Amino acid sequence: MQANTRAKSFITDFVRKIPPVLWITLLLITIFSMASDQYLKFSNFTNILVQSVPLMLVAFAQTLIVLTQGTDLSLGAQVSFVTVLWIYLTKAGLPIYIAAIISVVASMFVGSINGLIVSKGKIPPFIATLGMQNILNSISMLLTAGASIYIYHPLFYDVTKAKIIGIPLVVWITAFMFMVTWVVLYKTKLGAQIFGLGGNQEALTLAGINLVKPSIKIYAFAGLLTSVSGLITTCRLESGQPVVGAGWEFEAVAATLLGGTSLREGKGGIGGTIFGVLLITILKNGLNISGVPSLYQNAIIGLIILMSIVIDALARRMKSYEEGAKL
Amino acid sequence: MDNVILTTRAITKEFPGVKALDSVDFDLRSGEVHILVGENGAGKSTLSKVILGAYIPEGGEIYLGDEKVSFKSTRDALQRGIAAVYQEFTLIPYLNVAQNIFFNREPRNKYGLIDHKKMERDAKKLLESLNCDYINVKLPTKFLSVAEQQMVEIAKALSFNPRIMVFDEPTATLSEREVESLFRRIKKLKESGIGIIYVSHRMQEFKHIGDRITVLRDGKKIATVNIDEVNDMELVNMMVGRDISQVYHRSENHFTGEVLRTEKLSDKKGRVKEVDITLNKGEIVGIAGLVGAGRTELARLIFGIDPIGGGKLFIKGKEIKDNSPVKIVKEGVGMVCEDRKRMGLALNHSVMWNTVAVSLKSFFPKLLISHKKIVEIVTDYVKQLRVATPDIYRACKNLSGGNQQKVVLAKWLSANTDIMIFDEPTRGIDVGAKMEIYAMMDKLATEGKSILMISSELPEVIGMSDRIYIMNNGRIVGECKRGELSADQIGALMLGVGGDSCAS
Amino acid sequence: MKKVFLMAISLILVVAVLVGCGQSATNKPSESTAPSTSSEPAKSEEPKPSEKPLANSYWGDAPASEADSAPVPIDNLPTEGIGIQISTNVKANEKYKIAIIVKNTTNPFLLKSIAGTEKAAKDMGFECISLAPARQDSLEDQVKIIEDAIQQGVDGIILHPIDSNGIMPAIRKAEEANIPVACIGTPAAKQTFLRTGVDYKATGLLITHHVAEQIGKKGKIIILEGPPAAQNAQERLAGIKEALQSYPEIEVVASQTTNFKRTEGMQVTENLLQKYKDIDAIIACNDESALGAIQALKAAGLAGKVVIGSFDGNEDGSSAIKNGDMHVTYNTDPFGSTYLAAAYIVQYLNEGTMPPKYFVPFPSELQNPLITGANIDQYMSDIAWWR
Ligand SMILES: Nc1ncnc2c1ncn2[C@@H]1O[C@H](COP(=O)(O)OP(=O)(O)OP(=O)(O)O)[C@@H](O)[C@H]1O
Ligand SMILES: [Mg+2]
Repeated sequence: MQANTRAKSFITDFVRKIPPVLWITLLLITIFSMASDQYLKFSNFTNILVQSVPLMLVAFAQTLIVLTQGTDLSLGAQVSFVTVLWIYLTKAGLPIYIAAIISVVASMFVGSINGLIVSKGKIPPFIATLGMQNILNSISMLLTAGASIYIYHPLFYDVTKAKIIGIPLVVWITAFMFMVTWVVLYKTKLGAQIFGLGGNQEALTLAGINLVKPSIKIYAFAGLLTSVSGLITTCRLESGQPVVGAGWEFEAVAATLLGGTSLREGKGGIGGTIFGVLLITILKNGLNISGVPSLYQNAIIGLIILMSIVIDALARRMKSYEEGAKL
Repeated sequence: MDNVILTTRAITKEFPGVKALDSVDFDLRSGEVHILVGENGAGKSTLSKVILGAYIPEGGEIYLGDEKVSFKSTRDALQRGIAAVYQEFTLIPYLNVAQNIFFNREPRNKYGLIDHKKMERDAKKLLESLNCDYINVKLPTKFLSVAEQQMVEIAKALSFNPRIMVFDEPTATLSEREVESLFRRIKKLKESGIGIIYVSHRMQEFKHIGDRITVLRDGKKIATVNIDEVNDMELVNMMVGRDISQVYHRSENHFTGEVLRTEKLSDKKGRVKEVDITLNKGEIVGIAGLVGAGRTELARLIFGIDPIGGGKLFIKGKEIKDNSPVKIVKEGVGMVCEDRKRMGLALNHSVMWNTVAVSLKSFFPKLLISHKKIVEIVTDYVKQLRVATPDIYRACKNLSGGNQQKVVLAKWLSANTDIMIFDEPTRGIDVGAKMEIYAMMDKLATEGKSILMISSELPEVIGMSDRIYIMNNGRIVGECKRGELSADQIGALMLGVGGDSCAS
Repeated sequence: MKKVFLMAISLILVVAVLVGCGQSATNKPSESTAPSTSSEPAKSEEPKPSEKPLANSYWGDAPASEADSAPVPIDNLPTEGIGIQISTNVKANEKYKIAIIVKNTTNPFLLKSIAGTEKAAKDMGFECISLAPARQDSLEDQVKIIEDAIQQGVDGIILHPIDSNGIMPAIRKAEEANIPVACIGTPAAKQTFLRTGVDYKATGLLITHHVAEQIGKKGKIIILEGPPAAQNAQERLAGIKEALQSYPEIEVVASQTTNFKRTEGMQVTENLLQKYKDIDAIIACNDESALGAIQALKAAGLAGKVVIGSFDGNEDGSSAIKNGDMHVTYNTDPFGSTYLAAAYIVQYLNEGTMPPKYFVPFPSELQNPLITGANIDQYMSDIAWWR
């Protein structure tokens, strides 16, 4: 091949390697910074990061599940449940840290039940987790009598306030959870099994792997991630909110898809999900900051998410088209 | 027998509606290649899977040496040193080659995490032993060609260092060169005392590597014989249970008018370079070449799966721009793919659904469809092609591999297409069915349909084609009419060493 | 690549156009009032921020529930009148940005709150930004909105908090940025710059006394409660019960929740009428449930025989008063409340003036908030907040 075409293909390759969600995000940032001079401030940058944290953790969990060709509809309810349980237990007199640990364990337990039903009961994840969502929601409601519950504790404030080299603690926590998830996905057996569950279950069976155990582990790990999201949300709202997570599972699916994870074949990863979540958060933040009336906001958000996913899908198709998938 | 390492006694296995294995006795000696043959659906894969612990038989016993075993899962079998290359696709698309080979027994580093470096090194070594060092171990298997994927499957099975190995049609997706590497490897395994069960439909392979041969028919064992005590015809007769005379048969035929033409057609990736071919009405044109010569890519290009990078494509005199499968199908072109699993069939759907899916519109141009008529049509094709299925409502994933291929054929035949592109049409199909497919191709040609056939089996290309193009490295390097060139001459051209191509 | 490119371009256009729209929409009021702001005194007269009292910590850290709820005399208010009549002579010294943040965009009460702020922006000459959670009644979204508003550099916030305690972290952030936060309706847990809107307990007292007079201080009544978990419903119920203590001859035969909904109001009343046929009065905790009760009464042939007291003075409630189905309701006036809040915020931003006290109930008993057959025509033509 001649040198100049190689150079050209190098550049186009490089450009093409940038996931579409990233340049859509950059595009939005450009537009918003033109619309408001307050936009491109460092404080708004940390603001966006902090705001993206709770959804980010849920989206990591959802990405893992989507990679196995499932969808977990109970993730949002798990977040609500954790916020409620933590406050409830603390109110009941348990030390706040113990209560937090119990909440995390409870959430992981809920996750493992999901995994058990899905794999052992062979119930489609969509249905199984929908049931779990309803159960969790009503437990949260029962614990709180439908309202939010509240307790005063300086920990909440400290957690949201704390910063390490200028970046809020909760962002560091999320970064850490990302690392953990990354390690699980790419450095452990379980990670390989996640791709296997999504890509070729037959292969797992022929390798003599019982599908129940990995499923339980995956859903339990998702429970861990959502519980951290729940704890952080509790700190952010300083209260237990029985409905706070409603609908997060769908936003998490949107972020997952935006991040390039596919609902089929176990294709994707969690790196892209970060940008999916940021895109959603940046969009909401930008619309608020440029003062777009809230009546339009939902429509805009829906439209842009939809279009981004379509663009992304198209771009990917072009890519595999051009690379002429060797097949 | 002295060195028998595996014996089965009266193995019986039933699936709803079929007795896949009926009291089968079988034995394997160390250091031998024991070939399993039989028509599609005869029970070869089922027997293999019983031995591998993937199926639990309803009756019968399995002995390893003198010890009776009963495997609950493939893991039990693996632990006893029995590994396999399955007929199924067992790779995970978005894990890389190394991860796939060492799936679920990944090497760990001192932190207990997967040691990718070591894994990739080991994977590389394994592939090198198969002469496949060109496969990038870091690439997700999704992006490998079918042949490369198959080599990875083989490497994966080898990585278990088994005492007994089962190969279920390992060469169905391989080209000559890879087949040779595999055979060399199998011979080495044999020398080291490993027992090998080898399932295949390719007669020419048997003599090459086989020691003994067991014939199955309809789930029953017909015979076990030494390979040099039997000739091809006897084998075929044992498999089919009836007399078979001539393999390739072509009727006298006249070609009228051109239906497909390409002018300097190229793709975007440089795998197809300035190809000029023509196809006439009623003609069978074969394309010979090694795997990787660009034959499949050419077919994909014509069928609209890949975009045109340069040159022109005419179908029935009309230039096709912006090619896409939808457009091409509308022009009356059908394609039977190389990779039937992923491109030809909806595996979870029934034989009936798959057969009529693309043709419903032509059978029922009005709004309503008639179930009765569909059943008639499908039953007819199932009979014609001798698809081994208890009924037409069976999900395709429950058919044997070869029978799935037949359903793909039925699909396009029922769609009443004028131009058929066959990419390896008889791969994994037993001899009996092969001849039926040949006869069908001949019949189609006399009916005025045109066929573009790609095949790695040279005898098939030579036997069936009216004209042959030879491809090498993305280009057409030769063309000849029926009977003009010998197999050796064509083979040389395929390798890119044959001098001038003959004028047509 | 072409298709992708086209899609991307159209995406840019959509976003740009919509953001542009948002800009112009919010700019409009300020444009029209530009002359008035420019004619205001020069900036130098404005006290330096350090001289201003701190907007949100001025009243100390006391819980909102302990606030003094005595009404402020009408003459001391910066505004005049209630409902859509409300007016003021306060003018903004600068084009302040004031955000009105509500709970959702479906409740007419909240929409009129926005309308009140928009009118205030026009009258006083500031820029009004209206925001609501993208997910209805989502506390988490409301917190984000407040954070974003702070980033945007708003000068003041008028807020309908979704949850008293849950909103506190966001309020504290505004506090740190010294942005005055005025809460309407449900207050934040701690005292902020201002709380206004009605005093729910006082509304309960007032309506109950009125109803008691109507039925001659004796008889059987039914109470239709609001959602048990909602703070405003609890306070209102407390007011009703407290008032009833002064009427020993009035017997509450049933007190059940209807969740502020018309359908539930109807069902619950239907069921109760099976058991209690001789009811003298029904006190419903909002107009919607009262309207449901009226339908049930009509179906049971009891229309007109039962005195009905309620709260809100919304459109259908007003009609019910006009045609005699309902006897009294309380004008809860979101329009005027936000207008008043805006006036206090502007006064503070102008010269650092704090409201006279933390909780300024509005409309209070001093503003003649009861709507009855006697004043319904005037209410509907001049005051009604829903117009
Ligand atoms: N999982 C299954 N469920 C139901 N029927 C099955 C299943 N697997 C195989 N069969 C049936 O059992 C019979 C034997 O199938 P098998 O796969 O062993 O054939 P085979 O000899 O390997 O054929 P081929 O050469 O086509 O691969 C066939 O009739 C097939 O339809
Ligand atoms: Mg088979």
